[in-house]
Amino acid sequence: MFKIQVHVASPRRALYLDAIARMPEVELVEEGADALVTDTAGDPSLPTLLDAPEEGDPTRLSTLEGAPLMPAHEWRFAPNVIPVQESRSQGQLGEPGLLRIHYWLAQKKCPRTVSFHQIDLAHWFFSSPPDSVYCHACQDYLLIHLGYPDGGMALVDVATDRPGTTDYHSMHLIGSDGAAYADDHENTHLLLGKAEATALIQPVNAILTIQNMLEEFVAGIRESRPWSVNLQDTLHVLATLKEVSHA
Amino acid sequence: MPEHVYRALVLSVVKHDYLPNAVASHPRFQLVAVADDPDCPDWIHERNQLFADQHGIPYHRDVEAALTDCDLVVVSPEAERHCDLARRAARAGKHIVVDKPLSPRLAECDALVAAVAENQVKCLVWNRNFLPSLVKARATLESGAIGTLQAIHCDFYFSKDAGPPKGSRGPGDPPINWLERQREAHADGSDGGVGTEPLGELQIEGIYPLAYIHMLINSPVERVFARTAAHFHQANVDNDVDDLATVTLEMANGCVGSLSLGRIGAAAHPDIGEIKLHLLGSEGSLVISEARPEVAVYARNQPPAEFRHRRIADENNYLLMQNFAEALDHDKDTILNARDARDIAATVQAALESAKSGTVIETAR
Repeated sequence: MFKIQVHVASPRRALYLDAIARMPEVELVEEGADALVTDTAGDPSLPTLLDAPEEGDPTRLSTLEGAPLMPAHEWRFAPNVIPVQESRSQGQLGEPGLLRIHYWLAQKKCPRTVSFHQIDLAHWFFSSPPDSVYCHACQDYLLIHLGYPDGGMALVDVATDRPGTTDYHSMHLIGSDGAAYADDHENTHLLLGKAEATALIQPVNAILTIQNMLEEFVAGIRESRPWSVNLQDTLHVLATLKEVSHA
Repeated sequence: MPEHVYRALVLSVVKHDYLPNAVASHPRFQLVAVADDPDCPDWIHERNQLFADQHGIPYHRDVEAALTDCDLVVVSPEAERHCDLARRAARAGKHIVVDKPLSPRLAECDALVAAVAENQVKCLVWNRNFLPSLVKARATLESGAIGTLQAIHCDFYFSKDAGPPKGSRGPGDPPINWLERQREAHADGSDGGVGTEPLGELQIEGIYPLAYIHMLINSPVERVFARTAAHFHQANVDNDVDDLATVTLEMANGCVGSLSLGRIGAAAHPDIGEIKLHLLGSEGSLVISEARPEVAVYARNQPPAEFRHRRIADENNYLLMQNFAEALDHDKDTILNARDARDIAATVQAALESAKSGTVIETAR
């Protein structure tokens, strides 16, 4: 059995515990672990999955380069993102040209922090940090316009503290040979009740997302190979966010 | 008492004939003739003659003479001639229905705006603002359901090809001639950029989503930041015009917006393309699919190019012409007049400048 210790505050901890419970040959332990999941970047003696890298201090993180640390860029492992990346990496879409993301949250959060994972998706799909950053920001809202070295472009808008209780995510990636659409609008059910019709957005399965990410974490350790996401990716996103702050 | 029927002169039918056909199909309008300048190339005369024959009306190779016998003109030549023909009609005191885009050159748009004002004629620039989804979006906004509009985003992709794909030009092959390519594209109706002057997708199609934004937000675009690319089609690469673009828009009222637009290739969508609006208001949000309502049809042996999802209840053409008839009857404004379209052309021009310079550009007011 592969033993994982989880040092993550609630409510995120519950997600990790649920995900580990679903994984064969993996168990949760309180000591004697083979690997660690933590939301605090220390000097890892064990292979470590760093939760919430968007909260990390870039200066501190840069001292950890070379350490056995996988940053939890969890959106890369989300069920709605995986088919997009698979078709991109298999060449089905051709050269990526345009990424568009809308991400609106009911919860009051800092849009800049929330945009971390969306910007990461853009960097990932275009295989590079951007060469131009333009943004428009106001309270609870951020519109980021990125340009990439091969002519690629991305528009990401993040809104937080939205009315109601439902989040919304819409993403499409347009390539030279095809396009992929991952859109809550298309995955919406309809409730016809006593009041007006209500849309029921089917959110992405958060436990599956964490499980997919943990599987990559464990596989990387077992196979003694680099993880598919590394600290350099985190630092690139944090650098872009720094430019966003200055723009 | 029967309502007055307005007599419409068609000034050139170089592109697809949807515009004069839309005018002809409205009961308040009657096509009386087609006219164009005598020195046009033969292929233009042939298309004009064909349309005239189909409608059983005469074709005159003298615009000014034909202008004496009509109430309005329907202008649908190459984009670079839109403003010239429309301006001549305005000077003759004729009302104008003109195809999009108004013009690739802002100075010509300005001259048309002046001519329309000076001669007190009505002008309707063709648009899609009466599609059922846009009517719904406008009504929802006006109802106050999402409060004050704060941000508006539009995706506008046409999943059409445009000749050979990018990268297909062999060593020693000549670059694709823009006009020849557009003339070939007439067969499938994708010749929106027909003319001697190459036009990118922002110039050809940008007016549609920007007209949505204009209608819904009702505040001028002050500044833009844009990126463009020739990402899909060799004709666009060879002629140095975009087929993919993103534009950030900053409006005078503080609202922010964006546009992503492209001719993304037939393989990239099962139908005409993904066209959506995302609106954020102070009290709620609205996501609109421009294609809806639609009906899906799937069948064995279905032609690959046939759309699986068919738009229904589309009254855009009728409502545009109804809007124009009401403007003429009651001296009202049209849903997209020359001034509005000129401002949209200014936004497009600013976006192209921004993409070229990599800087934020203020729109020309």
